Amino acid sequence: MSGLVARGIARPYLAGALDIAVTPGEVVGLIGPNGSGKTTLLRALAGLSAGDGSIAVGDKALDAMTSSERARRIAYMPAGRHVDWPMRADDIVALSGVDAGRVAETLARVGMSAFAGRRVDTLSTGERARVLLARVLAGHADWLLLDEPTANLDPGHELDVLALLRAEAAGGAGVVPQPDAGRGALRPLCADGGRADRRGWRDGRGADRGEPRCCLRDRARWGGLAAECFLNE
Amino acid sequence: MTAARLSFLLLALFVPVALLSLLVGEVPVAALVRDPELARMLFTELRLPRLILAAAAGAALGISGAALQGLLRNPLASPDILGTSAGAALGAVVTGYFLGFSGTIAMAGGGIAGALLALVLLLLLAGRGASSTTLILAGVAISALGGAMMNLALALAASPFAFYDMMFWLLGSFADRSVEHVGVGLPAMFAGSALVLSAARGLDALALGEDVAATLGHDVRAMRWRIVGGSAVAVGGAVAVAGIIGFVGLIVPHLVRPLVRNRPGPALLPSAIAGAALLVAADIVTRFPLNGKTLPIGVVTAMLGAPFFLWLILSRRGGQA
Repeated sequence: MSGLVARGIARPYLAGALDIAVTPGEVVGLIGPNGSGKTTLLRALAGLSAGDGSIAVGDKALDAMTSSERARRIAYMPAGRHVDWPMRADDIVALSGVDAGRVAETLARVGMSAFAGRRVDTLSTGERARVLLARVLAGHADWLLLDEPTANLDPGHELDVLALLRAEAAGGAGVVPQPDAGRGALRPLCADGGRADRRGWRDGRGADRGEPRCCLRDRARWGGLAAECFLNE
Repeated sequence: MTAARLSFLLLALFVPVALLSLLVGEVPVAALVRDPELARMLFTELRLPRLILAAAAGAALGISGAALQGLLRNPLASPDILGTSAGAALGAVVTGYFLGFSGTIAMAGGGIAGALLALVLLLLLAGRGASSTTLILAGVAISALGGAMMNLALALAASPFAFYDMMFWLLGSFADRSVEHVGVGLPAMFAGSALVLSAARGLDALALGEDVAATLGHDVRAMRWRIVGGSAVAVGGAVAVAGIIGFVGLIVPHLVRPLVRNRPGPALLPSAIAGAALLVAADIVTRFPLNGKTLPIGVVTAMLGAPFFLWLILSRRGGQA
């Protein structure tokens, strides 16, 4: 498994064709203003949208995989916290196709053991977010694509989740959380200006207005961790 | 509770109801005991076909309702929502009263043709990559069109008798069903229900959204067309032999789902059995004449179903439906 490599990704709402390469063990945070295409990029990497460009996991193209093989390699968590039926927390985690032991173990990792038998509609949004995170972690996929994994969490649990993701990365899973987990990310990937001016994604060096400057500020806080430019120019 | 255990329990409930439906009717049991030949004829030509049709239609409506609610992620979805019920009723009426083929098989066949026509129209309207909302809207449009055509057919009825006969397709009945009806309706109901059941596996994952279901390895589009196509055929078959029967497909899934921890997938098979038991029971009620007339089964299911549904809503108010 050499990495998650995407070349020339072009989708609606995504400014320009995009290259991205993530090596196993790496945590990459997508940072950018609203509408810059963070979710679009994440969905494309999960193989959920068709379009130009190629995505390969390890040495195999995403298109060439069967759906079950893809499910083993990539786990995806959308930003929404909605569950349509009042199912039980452990049943939600079991959707990842693992046995009861693994379900209990994963619920313990996100600190939700006591809620295993509770219906998700009786949980708070933050508690539900942790159950949904457990669903993603349980399958032990090679790559975790998480859309706002720490949204709705209280500060304590936010730190816990970030530590959990770093532990996952240390265990070999490549993690691409977005976007606020960037605060704990090893490598920020930043949208610069959004689709309005078609400048696309970069590391923040060219950021000259508004929100994108958060990259520079956060970079300073990270103490000089290198950010890469993924923009095809 | 596991789906298998619940299915067994419901089956244990269904068997006595089915036996009761064989015994209750205009000819009293005592007369049947006296005349074995009459009993044999009555059972094989009237009561058994009627039981089979009521059970199959109940199962088709129950499983279709459960699957459509799961697929559309909407607790208000029912088998009627796709417009195939209206299509089947209209197909039967047009075949029987306007094309002049009033035989049993011709009318039931016309009903199934009507259901398939409605399904094709739905697919054309909704398109290949249709979202759930588009499906519901297209289904509502087809239902409205079918309903309007049905009313037109009633208005153009040649005689009061034809009008009365046509009303049957709007209210439903299992009275005087024959082995021929079983031959036409059962294959459609069975094949459609089996197709729906084959999509059960991915329904639970769909509760987290189509994106998550897809990344968990489920082919959401294939699942959608299996459930939509399967329930269209199953419900079309049911309506073609028994007319439109409301409420069963709507309430049965609500009865069953809490018993399988609100998972939509495991609710499918128990919903089929519960639907069969409920409709056979309702069919027994229709055999007791009121004011000298037998009740249409659609009226019985609605009269039983509506208060129950209200109770269900009131008892769960506060929680998520």
